[in-house]
Parts: sequence; C-alpha cells; structure tokens
Amino acid sequence: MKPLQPISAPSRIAYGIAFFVLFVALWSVATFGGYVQKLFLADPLTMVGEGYNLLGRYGFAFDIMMTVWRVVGGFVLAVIVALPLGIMMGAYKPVEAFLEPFVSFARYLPASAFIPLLILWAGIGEAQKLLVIFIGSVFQLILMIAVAVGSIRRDLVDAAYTLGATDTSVVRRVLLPNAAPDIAEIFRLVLGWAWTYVIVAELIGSSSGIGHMITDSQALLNTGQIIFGIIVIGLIGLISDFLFKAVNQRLFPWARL
Amino acid sequence: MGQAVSKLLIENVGKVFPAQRGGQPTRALMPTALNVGDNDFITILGPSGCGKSTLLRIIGGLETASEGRILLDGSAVSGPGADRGFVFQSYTLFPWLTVAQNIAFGLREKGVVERERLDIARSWADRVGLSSFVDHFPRQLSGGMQQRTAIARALANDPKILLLDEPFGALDNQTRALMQEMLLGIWERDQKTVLFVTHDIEEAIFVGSRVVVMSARPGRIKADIAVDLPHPRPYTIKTSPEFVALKERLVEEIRAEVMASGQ
Repeated sequence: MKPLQPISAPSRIAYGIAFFVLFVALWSVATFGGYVQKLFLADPLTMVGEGYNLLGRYGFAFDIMMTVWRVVGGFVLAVIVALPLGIMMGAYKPVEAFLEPFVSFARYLPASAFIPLLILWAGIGEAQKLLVIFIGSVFQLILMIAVAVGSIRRDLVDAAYTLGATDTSVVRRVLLPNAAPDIAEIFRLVLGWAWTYVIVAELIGSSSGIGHMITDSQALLNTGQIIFGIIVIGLIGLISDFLFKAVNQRLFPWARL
Repeated sequence: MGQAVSKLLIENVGKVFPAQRGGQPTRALMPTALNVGDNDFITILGPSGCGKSTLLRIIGGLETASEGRILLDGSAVSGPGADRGFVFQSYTLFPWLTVAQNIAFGLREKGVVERERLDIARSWADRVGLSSFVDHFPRQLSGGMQQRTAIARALANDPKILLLDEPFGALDNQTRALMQEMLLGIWERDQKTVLFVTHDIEEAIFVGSRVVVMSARPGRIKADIAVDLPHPRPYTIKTSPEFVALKERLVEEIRAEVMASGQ
C-alpha cells in the first residue's frame, strides 16, 4: 500500500461494508460458538428478533421519536444561543476576552453531572432532557464557532477593506462565508456528542426514549434489546452524518475544491 | 510632462515598528517623500525587506505611518478605502465567490444594483481574458488567472490609484511576462495612476514610466529614474539597447544595496 494513494469509490464502499460484516461475524462466533454466555451478550439473531418485538409490540418507534426530538430540540436551542455569541466572539476581540475564559471553564463541566441538579430545577419532564443537551453542547458550540470565525487569513480581510468594505460587511461578507463550511461541520460533530448526552439523560428519571428502554431491558437482563437500542442510535447517527455531509456539499461546493 | 498635477503626495512618511520583548524598535522606512503625477505608472524597486511593501501598505491604509502624511487628490489618507485599489502578492480572492462575484465585491459595497454589477464584472473579466471563467471558483483557477481576477476586482471599483504589491511574484516567468503585458495594455488604454512594487528589475522597467529605487533597510528613496521608452511597448523592447542600458544601471544600484544589507 502506498501512503495517501486514493482508492476508487466502489472499493471504498466495499471496504466500508467489509468491516461491518467482519464485526457481525466475530460477534456471531463469540455468541453462537458459546464463548460468551447468552446472559451477558445476545447473539445477532436474538438481537434482530428482539428488535422486531420492540418495534412491533412495545411501540419502540415512539421512543425513537422522543429521543430524536429531544436531541434536535436541545441542539437547536444550543445553536440559537451559540451562533450569535460564537460569531461575536470570533469577530470582536473584546467580546472574546470577556467570554472566552468563562466558556472554556464551562465546557469542561460534564453535562451528565448536571442531571441531578436539573431534575431539582426542572423536574423529570422534557425541559430537563432538553437542558442536559443544551448544557452539553452550547459551550462547545460557542468556542468552536468562535475559532472558526476568527481563523481567517488576514490578507482576505485586508483585501475586503481595500475594496471599500465597512466593519460590519467584513463580518457579514467575509468572516461569515469563510467560516460557514466549518460551522456546518461543527454542527455535525456536536450533534453527535448531543446523542451521548440524551441517552444519559434518559437513563435517569424518564418514561420514554431509547435510554429509558435500555434501563428497562437491563432490569430484565434482555441484552438483545439493549444492543438493538444501541445499534439504532448508531444508525440514526450514521444517517444524520450522511445528511449533514450531503447538505454541506450542496451548500458549500467551493469548500471541497 | 503632466507632472504639474500631483495625484498622490507622500510627505515624509516613515515607519518604526515598536520594540518587541525589550529589544530595540525597528525602523523599516526612513521618512520618504514622493510625488505621483496623475496617470503615472511608478514602479518601486528594492531588495527584499527594504520597506517598499510597508510604504505601499501605508498608502493603502493597511498600515499606519509613524510620521508624515499621505494626500490623495489633496485630502489626507487614513485607513483603507475604495479610492485606492490594492492587489496583493498572495492570492486574496474570496474562495466562496465566483470570479464574477469577486470582481463585483466592491461594487456591491457601493450599492450598485445587481444587474449593473454583473455587467461591469463581466466586462472586466473579458478585459483580463477570463470571460469564459466568470462562474468558476478561485480554487479552479491557475495562479495567473487568480491574479488577473484580483486586478479586475481592484479596477472594477474605479479607484483613483492602483497599488500593486509584487502581484506577479508567485508566478512562473512565462505567465509573469504575459501578465506584465496585460497590465501595461490596461494602463495604456485607461490611463490609471499606478504604484507597482517589485524586486524584479526587468519588470520594473518594462511596465513603469518611472522607477523609484529604494535602499536596503531602513528603506529610503535612493534614485528616481524616468523610463523614456515609447508606448505601446511590445515585449521585444526588453532586448532593445535602451532597455538593456537602463537595466544595467539599475542592476548596479540594486547590487550595491543588496551588498549593503549584507545578504
């Protein structure tokens, strides 16, 4: 293999699928071969069967919907707050000096550690779930957006000024379009992190959602259901990733040149 | 000649960079005076690090002078503005805009309506030979094409003066020669006032009507030589005896400076 040598699209897909096949094969060997007890790890077929049960008999689709709505809701709230703040921080140094130390501190506060507090403040309803995701993503978003907006080549800004641009149009017509593809990529990344927070939020004090199903299944020692739940999360992540990439490519064709 | 009207007056403009970490302040540019007549094409020639780019950036408003002042059409310059077009050595097209949108950037700032913006952008793209690339993004263009777009972008604003900071410095020799001819062609037709910074002696003579030679750091003007070559100038002029004589003279001037700066 030559370093960095590109490969064709079909073989890229084939390689990608091959690993999934290998993964399921190893899993099958471990479970069907009797190397791992059923109690600890369900085999792939049981998992599929449990999935069918969950979806057909226990209304798991509703849980999935709830979880997706919580992630998207909390994430959108975080974006609404983080986007203007991040842009201001990236563009204006005094704003950065004012907010950066606090935001840097706040982003290391683990969102999951807030859950007991949030239950105290907001109860165990939807507001608490949204808040966990909001806290988990907003500080990350602010900092990353600020970096994306601030990392522009100085000479592009100079060029804009010599073409008669005002301070606000430098932000609007230079800093923002320059950072836009990076910001879209940041959304994709942080949405992925938001998924881990939502499950944690649902593990504690929840009556619906994928995380809630997983705790229920744990009580019943149904590892097939747990694994099915985890795989569903992975699949949703894969789909949202794919959608984000497709949209980004459409919106910012120049960034890929 | 038309020297009576001064377009741009540079009055004892100097630059000192402040001391860093307890060191000494660095003087990049001695107080420099220069009169630029209307429609002059002045090339500023000097060894690297002589402060010629600093001078140009001060005129462009991208840097502040430590002393002196600059008058454009009688009014003092402070900060960058659309009246002074600037072309950089680095590629500074906005990568998210097409060639036409890049050329129209300044027009949009001025509030020109979209239809007219695009017309002007197209006609400038045509003039720099990029009419079939108006919808391309900068990353799809060669270095020479990007610099042609950058020149069109600066000129579409119809600035009072065009400032070029080693615009062809990153290009290969063949492309560079073609770009020089193109720029000269535009100047011969439009009679713009141009300040062109370069370290290439041949380039300085070929495009300029005056060559200002700067000394090694701290920079000051060492010689101001008129280039009395006829217009239009074909590229073959580079082998004419007058051209060669001028070149020899400038080589000596520059050589002394490079030796002085210890490079």
